[in-house]
Amino acid sequence: MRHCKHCLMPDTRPRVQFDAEGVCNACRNAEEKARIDWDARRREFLDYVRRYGAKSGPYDCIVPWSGGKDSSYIAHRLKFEFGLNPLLVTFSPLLPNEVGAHNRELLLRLGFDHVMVRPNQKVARRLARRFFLERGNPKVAWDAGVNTIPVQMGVKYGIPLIFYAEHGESEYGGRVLSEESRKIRDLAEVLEHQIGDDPGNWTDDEIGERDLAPYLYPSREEIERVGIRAMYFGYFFRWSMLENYRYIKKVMPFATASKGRTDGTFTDFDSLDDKMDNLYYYLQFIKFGFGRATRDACRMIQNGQMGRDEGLDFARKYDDEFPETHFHDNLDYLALSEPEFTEIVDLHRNQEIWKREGNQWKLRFPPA
Amino acid sequence: MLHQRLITVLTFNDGVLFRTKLFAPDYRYTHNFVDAWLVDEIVALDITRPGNGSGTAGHSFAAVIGGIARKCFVPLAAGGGIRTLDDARRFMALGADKVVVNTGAVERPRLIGEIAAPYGSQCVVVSIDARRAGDRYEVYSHNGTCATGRDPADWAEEAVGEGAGEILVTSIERDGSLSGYDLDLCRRVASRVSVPVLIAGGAGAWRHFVDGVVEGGASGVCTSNIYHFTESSIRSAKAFMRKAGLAVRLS
Amino acid sequence: MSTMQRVGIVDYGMGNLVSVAGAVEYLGYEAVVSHDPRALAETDRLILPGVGAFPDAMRNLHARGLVDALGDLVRRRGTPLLGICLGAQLLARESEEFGRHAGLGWLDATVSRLRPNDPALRVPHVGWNGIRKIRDGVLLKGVPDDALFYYVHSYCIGDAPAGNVLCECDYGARFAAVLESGRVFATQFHPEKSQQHGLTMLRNFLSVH
Repeated sequence: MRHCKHCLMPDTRPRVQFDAEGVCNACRNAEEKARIDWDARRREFLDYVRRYGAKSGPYDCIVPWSGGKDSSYIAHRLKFEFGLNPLLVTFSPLLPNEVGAHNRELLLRLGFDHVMVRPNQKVARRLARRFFLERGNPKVAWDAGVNTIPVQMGVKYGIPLIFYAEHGESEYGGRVLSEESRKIRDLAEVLEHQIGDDPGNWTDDEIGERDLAPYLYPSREEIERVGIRAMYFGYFFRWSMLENYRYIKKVMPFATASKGRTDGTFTDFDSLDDKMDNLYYYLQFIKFGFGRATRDACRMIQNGQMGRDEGLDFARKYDDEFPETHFHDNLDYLALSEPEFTEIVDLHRNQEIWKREGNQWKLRFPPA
Repeated sequence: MLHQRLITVLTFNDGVLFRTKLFAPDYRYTHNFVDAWLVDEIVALDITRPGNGSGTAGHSFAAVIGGIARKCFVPLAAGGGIRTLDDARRFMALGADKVVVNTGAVERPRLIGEIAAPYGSQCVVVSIDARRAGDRYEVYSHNGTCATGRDPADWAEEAVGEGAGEILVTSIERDGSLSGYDLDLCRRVASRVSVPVLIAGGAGAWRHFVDGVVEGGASGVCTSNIYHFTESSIRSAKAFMRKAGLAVRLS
Repeated sequence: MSTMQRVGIVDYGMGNLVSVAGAVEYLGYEAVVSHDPRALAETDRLILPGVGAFPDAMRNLHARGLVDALGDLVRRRGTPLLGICLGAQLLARESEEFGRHAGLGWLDATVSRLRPNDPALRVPHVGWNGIRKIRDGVLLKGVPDDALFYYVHSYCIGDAPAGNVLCECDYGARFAAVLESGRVFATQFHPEKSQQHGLTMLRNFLSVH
């Protein structure tokens, strides 16, 4: 397990690529960002809006919205800088928490319409539990919903233009299938990379096809009829989660993690709206050997907002922090006892990168 | 009646189970959840590229084959770099029921007969990787990197003539996608030979398995998507296939 | 089991010994894989596996002195023996595979090429297929009528005496799938590759007295 020479990302991250100098493709992408003609990109954005913005109805576009710094930043700019009227569409977090709800309400008060979809919780919990067990990821079905619900709303309301945030594969290291896919969200690619499976396959003794409705894309015909175009805001406007946070703090009293820092990291402003995120990122650490602190540090290093040494300190300090906050709510949601949780975690522990020392687990190749 | 086979294809890179996309290792997986009971057959392939890997790839793959053969009571086909009868013998001695030959057979078709002679044709699966070329297809060797200029149906026919007992056809373009098998490719090969044809590359929705049998003419449908390997998934897939009218083993 | 029963698995250079041994051990018995007649003589029952061609198999058995040795153990001493796939076919009088060759002759039957009368049915017969129960027998205990087993063969036993055939399989032509003749048992399919029901059948054989 090697770590990127520039940021701290390890090569265990799915699909990340390292070049001959040992630098990951997220860092190279960040270097590219300095060379991009952002004025041209802005013009391109305006052109897309003109051509594909909804021609009828009250909404110009859809913003898939969690209420977090990134999506609120996008929504705010679209409305107040570009004069568009976005419809905010939220696929409910598994376990909404107060900070998230509070931040959502703050933006709505600035003047936005909002559709919140909370799916069948009997089904949602069953899927969360199943995928936590099988893949060490309780948010697989949620990921599917986050992808499909905005597209479903676009089709239902006749709004072709959907502004997602950033293209994860480019920004954070992954497999970029084509240049187009940096700008226009490849709906199939999303399914192949993030979900890895067709959600229609998730039927079992208790879950039928109808129960999976929130997790399925509309048909290709419908998507083409409306002319759905899902795009990355981060392609047109230089993306940085720290900048997004600074922006949003200027326009509203955005609330951050109540104890001053989120479990597993040094930041207090990222991924705040779902109690389950604590568990989600912890399992990422177990499976791939990098925790939330590494993740946040990498992003900031790539955007020139933090030095590698400082990031390394944070990674060493916080990556392995146990997700205490909301732990019992999360276990309850997944209908797991604590021993069951521990057993499942160890089933997903990548033995190639972990070793047992006494009664503790240690990374074989800690960040360096 | 003979039931349709749902076959799990496990691809190992340097001894580690990987999911592949366009034939490149894409996502490593823990095989704690690979179901060994509802699956009809397992194909284990060593896709470590020469020069890559830690040098212990062969050793770890041998351990994988031995482990599966001892603990799983379902047919096991093993392949990856088989160039000689001795290579095949090694896999058979480890416990494989069949061997899968690809590049080795393309380079030297006689290899097929050499293995079929002592073990029988049913032990030799010739694997053919192909890409679309206009309105035809072309066979690629060396893990999908070398164009051979050959037509897959022609090559399949020749391979069967040399003694192949089954043909495994994989669409390189579809590998790792969820968009379905290349049914045209499958049909072309299945209609040319009289041995069972197994189709791989692109299985996404359960419907694709049905299409592979009904429209492609496959005797076995393969998936190397690790999310299809759990007991829950295989049961769901087979229930779907049965509901669509196919004979599949469900217990 | 208080004393582990020893199961001899005949190694004559052809057959998936690892799988058969694995299944035997899974079922709680000790597997003795050997070509040495003396070692095989110290077991409580025998399994004759088989993968490959009939003539090669008989040649190998003769070369290792196993034809007489097994004949002695099975016919004289009464050690139960299970033939699997090619191993089942070897128990017949003769086979037409690659010319006419004599088998062990413990089953009054011959082995011929599988010739399905439906051109859509491909040979070799590979995959999961069923059994049609004709008569009862110890191997079938606990095996449901709709159980499926893994077949992989191009030749079959089509003319065994009715009294010896417990189950048939129909693949465009009927052939014997499970046979029993005294202490000699045979399955055309691979029970060690047939998941739960296969293991049940193996267990039944292993507990034959």
